[in-house]
Amino acid sequence: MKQTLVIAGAILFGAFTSCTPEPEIIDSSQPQGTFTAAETGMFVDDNGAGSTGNAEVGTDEEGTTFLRFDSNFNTNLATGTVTVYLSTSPEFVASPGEGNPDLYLVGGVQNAGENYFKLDPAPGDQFTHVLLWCGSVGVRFGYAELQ
Amino acid sequence: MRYLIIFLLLLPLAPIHAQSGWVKAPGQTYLQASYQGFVSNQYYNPLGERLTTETFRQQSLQFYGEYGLTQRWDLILSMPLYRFNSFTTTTWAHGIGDLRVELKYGLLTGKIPVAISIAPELPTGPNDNFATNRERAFEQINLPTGDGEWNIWTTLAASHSFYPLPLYLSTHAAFNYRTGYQGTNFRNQIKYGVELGYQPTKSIWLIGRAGALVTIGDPTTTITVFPRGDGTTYMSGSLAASYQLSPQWSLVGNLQGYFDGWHARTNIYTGTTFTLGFAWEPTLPTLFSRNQE
Repeated sequence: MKQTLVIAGAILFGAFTSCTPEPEIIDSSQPQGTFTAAETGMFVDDNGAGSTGNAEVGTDEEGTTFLRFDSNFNTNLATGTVTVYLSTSPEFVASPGEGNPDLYLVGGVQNAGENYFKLDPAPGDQFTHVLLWCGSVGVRFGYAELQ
Repeated sequence: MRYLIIFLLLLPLAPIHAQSGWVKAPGQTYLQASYQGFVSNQYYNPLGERLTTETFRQQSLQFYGEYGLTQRWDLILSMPLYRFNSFTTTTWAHGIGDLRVELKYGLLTGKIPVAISIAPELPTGPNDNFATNRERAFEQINLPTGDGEWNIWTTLAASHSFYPLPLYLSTHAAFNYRTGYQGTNFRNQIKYGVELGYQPTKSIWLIGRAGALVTIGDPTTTITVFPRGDGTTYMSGSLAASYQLSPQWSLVGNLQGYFDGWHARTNIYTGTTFTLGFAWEPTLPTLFSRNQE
């Protein structure tokens, strides 16, 4: 009798769990659907940091703007955090008193290979370069011109 | 081929009489505790290009001890007891440093004594130690107080006293066999230098030094882990002074800087390193009798 009850319970448990829909988790920091690049540029290494790979700015299927580093991306990540900026030139021109009009802070990059960064709000057309910046030291690790 | 971004965070200790051909008598002891400070915003990258960066700061409490085991053998221990590293943009990363254990053997005595030593450096300091940017909390930088590897220094040194003139000259050459950290191999190093000591009065020694540290070989990887001292080359000079306060106690100081010579500076922050401390020279009980040599 006990055995029958255990088997029936297991069947019921399986029936309920298989009917419960899995919640779909959408990672809004990643592109939804296909990412289409509008501009691309190859990283130029600076100061022996070993920066490689390509940077792309484009949109996903929902029209959200992203910055993408391709699978060849690398830089000297073991120093700690490398900060990614969009810039109006290859130079890091900080003017905090004026709101840093020449820079768009994207965020930190910690892993080599493919990375996506959501750009919200979408940057203006004046940002033509991607900078890899070691902010604590004040040294550029590399840059890519977007074309 | 790519180079490496590595800052020289592991500045050398500065005992008042370093790298000589003399060994101590059994029980003869030299102990030095000192404060060492360094500040610089001038960095030579691995390509030899000079950059102005945010200011790097390092403060250390150093220990150096030398003890005569026998007529021929010395034991030398040295390490940063505690070290603080930061940039002006970051918090401080701090911890103990790497312990160096050196056994020194007097090969020749007489007018030109010659000694050889072997000195493993143990990775006793924290291998990774992150400081946080004061303005952007998500930014961290690795400023470890140890290099994370086992390495072995082998040093050959010779000296000569010009007695009765209060003057001596020492020279040394050393090879640093390096291993690696987290799968990355570090390049070996050669170090050499000369030291001239002069005693103008009975209680004062003045010492001048010049030398070089040279990395040999090409990088073994495209990118390596941060600050392990790989790829560092420089020429340096220093002026040291010792003032005898009592028969066993002295006040010691040292100023070290870098200069351009036949080796270009690479992968190093350059500036003046300031050291101030005390030395104690007691005669301690001997551990070994002479017939054990």
